[in-house]
Amino acid sequence: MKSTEKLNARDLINVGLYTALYFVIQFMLAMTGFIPIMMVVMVPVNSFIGGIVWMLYFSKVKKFGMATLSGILIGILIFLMGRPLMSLIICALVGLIADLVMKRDEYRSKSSRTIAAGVLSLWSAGMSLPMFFGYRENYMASLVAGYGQEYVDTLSKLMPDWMFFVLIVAIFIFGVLGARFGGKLLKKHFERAGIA
Amino acid sequence: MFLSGERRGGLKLDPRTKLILFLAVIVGVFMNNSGKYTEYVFPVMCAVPVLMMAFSGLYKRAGTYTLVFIAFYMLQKWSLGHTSGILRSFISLNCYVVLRFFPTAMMGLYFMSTTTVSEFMAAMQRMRVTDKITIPMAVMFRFFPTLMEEMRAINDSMKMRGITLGGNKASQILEYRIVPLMMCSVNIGEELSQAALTRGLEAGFKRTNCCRIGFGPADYFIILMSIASIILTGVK
Repeated sequence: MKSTEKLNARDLINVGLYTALYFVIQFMLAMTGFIPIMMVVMVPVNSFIGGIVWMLYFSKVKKFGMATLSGILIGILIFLMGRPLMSLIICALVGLIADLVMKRDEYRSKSSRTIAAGVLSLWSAGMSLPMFFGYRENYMASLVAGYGQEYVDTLSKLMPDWMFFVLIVAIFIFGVLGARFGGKLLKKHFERAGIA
Repeated sequence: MFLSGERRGGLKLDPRTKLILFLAVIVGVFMNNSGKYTEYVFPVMCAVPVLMMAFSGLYKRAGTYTLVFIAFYMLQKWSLGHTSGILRSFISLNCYVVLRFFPTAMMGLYFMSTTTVSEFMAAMQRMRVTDKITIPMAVMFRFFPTLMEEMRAINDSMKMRGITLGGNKASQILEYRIVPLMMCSVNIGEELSQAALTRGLEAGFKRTNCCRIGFGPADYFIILMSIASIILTGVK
């Protein structure tokens, strides 16, 4: 199958399905982020487990645009959860890059899928964007009202601006690790059953 | 979950109107700390889901929403005066999350429980949104509740086998929870695609449907109010 073909209904259904699966799992995990330190710890855990799901998803991806669409969908969802518009743009961009990575070898090799899974996990950097740079003061002020001063102080100490870049690297690495683990899981459970 | 059949009775709005109202709620609830009038917009926007649900005849949901919202609001106010330290930030954090997410979540619930998939697709088609966004979105929202259900079932059966956080097989949690979930979503995906194929979603023609959507007086009123509230939120 050539990757230049247009997306058909089956592909679009797969996009919706796996993005939903991914999002539900992420949302369940994010529920534990109530304790300040967890919010930092959960980022690598989230991207690790997310990587597993992306691996399964990418085994179904054969055409250009599906990863981009997933990125856009995640962007719309987190926009509905009150993130700035910039986060949506980051999500779409990250999806596009993941698509480009996989397109290089026509969506065939496992290694490019692994890297793409790491790239697509970077959407969560867009999710935490409001904690950094210009958005920060506004966001922190809104948190004080609800989360209480102590929580915000802890969070501010843990999250200076340069942390954003550390975060990006951490997300990517753990996303790739998760994808590698996911590849093994796929081999064990899915490929043998002829599903993936 | 999206409605499968058409609702009878109650106020009937165009899906596009509901989307604009949804946007107004999001803006009013989440961006409520920068503008001049935001402290007045916020409570109004929190009340919108209740009003909309009541108008469409979903009295029970509207009542539950109001009760839960008020309970958390009281808890937050109470915790500021009576607790301190970690307990206080824990309580107020949870209240904060609930108070912020609840209105939008309820608005989403209202949107989905009063809109059929057909109406949604028709409205998106009128707004010239491509199928590439609409189909995955419809699938996604249709799929969320199913996934939650499957997750609960898997959770139960794994509990029976002792694969829980406290159990003696804790290390297997990851594999034994995620793999079944992925497996069943693969199957559901296959079935959904077959169903879509038999309905001719792939035929390459423009999708037609027979549901009536269009703007009435109530729609114009709500759209005007939503736009007014978005503008009010933006005023510094």
